[in-house]
Amino acid sequence: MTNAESEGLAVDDSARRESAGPQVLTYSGDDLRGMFAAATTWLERNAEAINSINVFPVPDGDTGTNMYLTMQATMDEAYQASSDSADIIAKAMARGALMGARGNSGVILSQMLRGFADSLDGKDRFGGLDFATALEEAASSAHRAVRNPVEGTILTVMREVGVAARKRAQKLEGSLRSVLTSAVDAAKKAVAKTPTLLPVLRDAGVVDAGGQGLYIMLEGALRYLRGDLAPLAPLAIQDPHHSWLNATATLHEGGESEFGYCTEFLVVGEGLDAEVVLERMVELGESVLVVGDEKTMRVHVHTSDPGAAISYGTSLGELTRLKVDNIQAQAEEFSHKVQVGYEPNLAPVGTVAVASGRGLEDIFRSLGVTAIVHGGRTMNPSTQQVLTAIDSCPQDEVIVLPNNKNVVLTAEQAVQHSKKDAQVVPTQSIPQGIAALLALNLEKGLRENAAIMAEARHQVRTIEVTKAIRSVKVDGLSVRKGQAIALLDGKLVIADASPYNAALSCLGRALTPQTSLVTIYYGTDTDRDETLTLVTAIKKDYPSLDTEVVYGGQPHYNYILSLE
Amino acid sequence: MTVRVVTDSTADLSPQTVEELQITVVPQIVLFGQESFRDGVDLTTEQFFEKLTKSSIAPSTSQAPVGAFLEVYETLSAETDAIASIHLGAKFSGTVAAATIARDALSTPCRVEVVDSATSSLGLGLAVIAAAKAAKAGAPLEEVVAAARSVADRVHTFVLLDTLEYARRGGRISRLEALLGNLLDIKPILGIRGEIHALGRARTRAGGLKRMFELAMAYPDIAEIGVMYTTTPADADMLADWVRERLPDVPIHIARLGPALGAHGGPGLMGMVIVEGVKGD
Repeated sequence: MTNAESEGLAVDDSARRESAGPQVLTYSGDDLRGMFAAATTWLERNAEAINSINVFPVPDGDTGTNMYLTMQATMDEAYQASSDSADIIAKAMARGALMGARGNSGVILSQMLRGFADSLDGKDRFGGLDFATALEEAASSAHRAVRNPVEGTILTVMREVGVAARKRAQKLEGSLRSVLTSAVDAAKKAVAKTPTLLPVLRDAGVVDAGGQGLYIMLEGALRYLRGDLAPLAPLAIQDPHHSWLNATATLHEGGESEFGYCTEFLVVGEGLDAEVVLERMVELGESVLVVGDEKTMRVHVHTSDPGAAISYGTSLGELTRLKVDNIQAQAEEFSHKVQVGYEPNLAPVGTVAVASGRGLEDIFRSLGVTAIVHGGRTMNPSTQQVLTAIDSCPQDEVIVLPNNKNVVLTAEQAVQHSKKDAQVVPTQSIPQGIAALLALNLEKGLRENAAIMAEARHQVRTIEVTKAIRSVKVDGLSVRKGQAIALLDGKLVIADASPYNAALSCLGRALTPQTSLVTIYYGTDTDRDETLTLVTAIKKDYPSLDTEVVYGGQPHYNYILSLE
Repeated sequence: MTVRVVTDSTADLSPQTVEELQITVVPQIVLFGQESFRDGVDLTTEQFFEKLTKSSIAPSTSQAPVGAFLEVYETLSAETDAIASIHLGAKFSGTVAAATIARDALSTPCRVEVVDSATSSLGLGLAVIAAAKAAKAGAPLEEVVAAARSVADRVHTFVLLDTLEYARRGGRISRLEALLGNLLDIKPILGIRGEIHALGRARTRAGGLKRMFELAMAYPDIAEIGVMYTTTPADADMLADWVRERLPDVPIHIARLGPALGAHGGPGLMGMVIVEGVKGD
């Protein structure tokens, strides 16, 4: 008898015990929320571990973080739900996930929650069968939403989960606990199988990160049901929105400051020190409120320099629940929209670009982009962030440039929910984004420009140089942790001792007789002298090439090179 | 008597064309600081571009003085009773204004019609050529002027700058700059039709030439094409080859851009002109 089976038997026993004694056959919306809150907590604890098994050993492969942040936004909304009914809570979660979705895994998760909520429609309470059906619907919903569903990913795992849950629910009138146990069991098995379905996972020696994240979440929910895990959740969950509002409202009533900007944000990071943050905020302004723990902190300050407060926040970690209001105007119950890099623009079609790095942002601005979405540390903004940027454009027609393959789905979701006529041009890198933006034709409309820009992004090749966070074999290449690696149009092609060598080797591979210009964007951690040495070497080896060196300030990637 | 056609040096007409069609060209003034030259007379185009790259002074061009127009009209009025004086767009220069003052000051019975082409360079040149051909065929002044206006109305001009350096030096870049980018090396493509407006940007010269070519080719009915260069004739030949491949039956003119555009566009400047077909023909 396997462990799983004996576990199953134990649960069946308890199910029989449950149905024998005082019956807890159905559960409330509050229980549902508790389960998902615990799932989120458990996900948060395991986020780093999930991040580390991304196939590509790149520092921004943050599946764990993305899923966690998505769930955090989900729970934020769940705690604001107007009633205790299961379907209202589920709908709230679906809404929160939709807007808070980050990265492809976040978007898929939000699609699952949508299906889950649809299935629970009209149900005030739910039991094992309801839950199983909802899990199945979640799987279908996610599958339908992805354009090219791939086996061996989170989609496969969810499908297996739905199937196993349904079987358990129907066969033995499964209680919620038994259904969830079967689900967890199926998830664990399906995750272990993913390397057999996706060769790239097998070569890398890892299981699918998204699938693993899903398994972790289900396990967390089960542990809650068993009483093993109380949702010792981060501040955002324990401290519902309205008590924060109460605290900050008293600050406003106090009338401490009448000018400047009321700046608020929630930062998710590591080793946060409330006293240090408080000290900094006090330097910047008044009416300071800092609440939280070392992983999550909520900040409120009245300052004339909201940019400084927000920049400080982004240096500590990921920001969410960001709000900046003009205090005077706020007093008149009128608030200005957050300035997300808005530049006055004469183009008939607005453009939104996702960029991380001060230099890169400056470049996009200098090229006349209408709005910028800050990617943040994981370089994956949420649906809401992209949506805010789209809505901040003065034009009715907007094109979105995700500049990262892990932001494309998020951008698509934002575009679907925008009231503007918006379209995504699926740029996969900063150079593609710049090429697309340069191709903007000021005399044409949305559809034509989208086609022009889609064509233009293929005219440039991208090289990205960073450091491997893990030893792995991928794309036929063996990489050791800590080595410099170079990706050519997203494919890992070079591993070398130094970023300098990796860049040069990759360039040698990528150049064609048609290449006439190489632009080197160097990152925030990159030595400027090393960059100049690199350029000198390029000029020497390829005297007919034009080169340009630009400060990009991007995190994680020492160099981003564009070849055109 | 044959109508005589007058234009200014911004028409970028070749000496052969000028002689063949008996066109009179009034030279623009090219200024390098305090030094002033008559375009094509005191300073050839070749010499201009050499001086441009060597000098730290940003050159500028201005219309010929009223007196120069008056002199031309007076001389020509001995041979004809009608003059068509076709010039660079009034939005770009005071040339039309100077010519008009000269016309009003003319004391001979010769009729002078001043035409604002609203365009420049080869676009103007093609309008002038059409007028001169009509004049050579014996058309009266009204028809000669109509021929020029007809072409001028159907002209679209595109230019590709290799650098924004000279435009900046000359103080010509203002709101255009915001659209053109200043952190990355950008090669702008501008359209000239009454005014100058930004049409696109490219990162490489090759990319820019392709973009400009496609912008020009986008017009469905093209009657005539011009290709212009400043310091890179080989690029002009290449563009002309592309045109021949795409539109083998359309007449192509190749011309060298002079100081009027060259002063601000700088060396490497390239251009294209298309004349749309007459509608309803």
